[in-house]
Amino acid sequence: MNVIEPVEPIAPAAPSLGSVAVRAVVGLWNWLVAATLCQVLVFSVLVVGWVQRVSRRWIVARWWELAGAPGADFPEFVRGDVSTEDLAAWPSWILGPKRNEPPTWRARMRRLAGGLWENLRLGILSSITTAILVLPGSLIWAGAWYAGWQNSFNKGYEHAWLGPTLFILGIPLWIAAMLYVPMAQMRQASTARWQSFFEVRLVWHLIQRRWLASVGLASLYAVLNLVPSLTKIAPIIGPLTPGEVAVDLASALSKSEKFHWNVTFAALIPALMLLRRVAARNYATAVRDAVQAGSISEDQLADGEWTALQRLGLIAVRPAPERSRWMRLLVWLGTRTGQIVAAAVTAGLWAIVVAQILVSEFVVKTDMGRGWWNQPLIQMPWFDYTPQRLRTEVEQPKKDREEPGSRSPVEEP
Amino acid sequence: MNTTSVPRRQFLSSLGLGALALQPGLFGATPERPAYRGPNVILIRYGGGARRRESIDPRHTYSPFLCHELTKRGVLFTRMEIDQFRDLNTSHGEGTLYLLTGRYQKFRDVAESRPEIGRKFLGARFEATVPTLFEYLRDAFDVPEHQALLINGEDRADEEFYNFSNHHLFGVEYRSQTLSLRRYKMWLLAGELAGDKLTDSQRAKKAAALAELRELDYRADKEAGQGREVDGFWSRWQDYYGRTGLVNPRGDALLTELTVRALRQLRPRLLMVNYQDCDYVHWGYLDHYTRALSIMDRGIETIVREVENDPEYRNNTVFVVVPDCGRDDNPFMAVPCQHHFNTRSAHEIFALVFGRGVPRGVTVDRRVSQVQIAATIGRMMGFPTPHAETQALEEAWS
Repeated sequence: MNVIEPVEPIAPAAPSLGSVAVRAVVGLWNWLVAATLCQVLVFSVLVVGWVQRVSRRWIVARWWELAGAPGADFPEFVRGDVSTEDLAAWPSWILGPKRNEPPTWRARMRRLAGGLWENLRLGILSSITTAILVLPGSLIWAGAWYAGWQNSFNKGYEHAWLGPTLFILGIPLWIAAMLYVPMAQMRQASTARWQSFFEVRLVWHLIQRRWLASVGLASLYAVLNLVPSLTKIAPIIGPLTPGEVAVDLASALSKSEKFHWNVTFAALIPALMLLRRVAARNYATAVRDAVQAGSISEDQLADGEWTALQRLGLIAVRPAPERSRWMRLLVWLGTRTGQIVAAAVTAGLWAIVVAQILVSEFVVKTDMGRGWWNQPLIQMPWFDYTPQRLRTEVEQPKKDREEPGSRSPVEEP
Repeated sequence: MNTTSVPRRQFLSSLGLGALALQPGLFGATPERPAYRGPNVILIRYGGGARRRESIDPRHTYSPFLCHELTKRGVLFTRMEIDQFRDLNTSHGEGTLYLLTGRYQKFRDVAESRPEIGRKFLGARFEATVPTLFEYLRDAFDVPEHQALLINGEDRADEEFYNFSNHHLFGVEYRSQTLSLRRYKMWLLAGELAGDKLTDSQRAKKAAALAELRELDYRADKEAGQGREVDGFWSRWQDYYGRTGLVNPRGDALLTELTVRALRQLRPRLLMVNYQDCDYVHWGYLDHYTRALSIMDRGIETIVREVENDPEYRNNTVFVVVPDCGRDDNPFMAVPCQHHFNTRSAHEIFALVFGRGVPRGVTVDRRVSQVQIAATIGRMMGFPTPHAETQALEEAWS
């Protein structure tokens, strides 16, 4: 690897009023776009990619903080190397980052649509890698729930065990995945490579180094997951009093879509960003600690990670002070016991999220059972639970006028 | 202060008043009751929870026999409601008791008044404080308990104990009998324990299983035994379907089968069938609701055919089909009728009355109340329902 000189500390300049205003406008724009994209499954993938890029920025920013914030400011620091220069500003939804490169056709395209491409590419890859671990448990729930109640309805006493057993098996599977996924998502964000998500030994080592932080992150998930859970069950409250008048379906549709957009904007996006920021900082700290303890080698870092850590002077191994044999044993026992307790608590906190998923999906069944298999704060932030049935009922009369005979002969109530 | 709890009835008995308190004719001999000669009544709880739309609306019905055929044979009350102005629950246990007692009440699980029996999650262990139709009938006429029948499913076990009230002039002595899988299992276990083929460990297991089933009876005045006629019914059931529970029909189809066999073997005068499977829609699959409606529709058709084929029942039976409650009509949910959370739609039901003496092909679209069913059945069968709160549905007879 190249030898890179660490950045010298320079007192940062105070941000001007104008730059604060610009940042506020950009932040609001990003927020609005994210909330809107989250209303459609396909577009929510773009949000996943965009959040991955933001997470990478947070990871490097955390290293910058841990190194004592050298350089005039963070953007100036990241502009100092080609591997991090794209992190100088928040990622764009469409435009690619400004780079000093010859104005070729490719460069122009990168500038015009590079952001969109990166959001899409990283969003698809991250959605897939997360799904590979999370979906087995949650699809088992969806299947077991369906099969179990189908069997119960038909009073299949002979197979009564199947639904509940499968459902219960899905719980540890999902929780085990969730012990791993938040750190792995950040690993993938930091390296921008999908393969990094599956560097199991490395990711698990980072988790083990930060068990208490994992407890904190799982607690945060257990609290913030109330946003999607309560939003799902919100339709049972509200307009449905005994004195309710007949609801105009078109206005019901509009009301439902507005409600979901508002909740996405006011609660879901902030919750998502908070969770990913905490996870990013956790990852950054874990990597710094592991590198300095010598428990992961420099070769295990991605090039961009190594460069950033090297420039910040964080790459040096700092061996732990020598302890007596008894003290080492005590620390080992404490660490081992602590890890087991922390792992159990973390699993318990994820079980609270499972309970929320279960209760909310029981109270309000979502279309295609997606309340089971997509958790907006963990997987794709697709957050419009407006029933398809309502959309069809509103749109069908228009279709009937335009294409007589288009209605399906099998009509659901 | 240390007190000993003594059941009310035991207390009265110890005073020598028990026998008097159990009988309506205070200080007198039990009055001779006349034999019942009126029409038989089959009350079908079109449950658990059904909306008008999928039931009686010809464009959306999943009950074609009810909607297209039976409505021509009787009086259809299209705008029956559960009271919307009082704080009432629109649920199955409550609705069943509104039908049976003719009175709206805010029911509470018995654990609230008798904590010693323990809480039960989502328990519907209710006790009517005013007499049920079964008690009125058996008070007014010489009708044995096996001819006042409640047929109940296995998923809502609490509801098989709605067969008598705790009214001081009525109660367990005027109960109906109940037919359910629980009762069959109890009969089987009691028979096994009475024999001498069990080993000690088998005996202990069977006794524990029987005790567990008995525990489900939450009433202060617990029922004792099922009576010779019902024992005979279960004996024949065992001969035909065996002991496993895997041969007989299942779900709501089981209730239909129990009803048909009861009609043939027990000859009930007043019979209530507590269909329940629509309520599976709580778990989120709309087809459970619509299929349950279809199964119930076929069940009603089977019962009607059975009555038509029986000379004693034909032209001497009145059917009353009425839901225990409606269901939501929530446009914001993928399954709009998943629950019945006391919404307007959950209060909106219907009633169909047909059979002997009932005008044919009449539709009544004025608002009527679910509690009018009890008074209507009372009037048809010729007994007063003084504790029911409203008048009968006058349109139900010529």
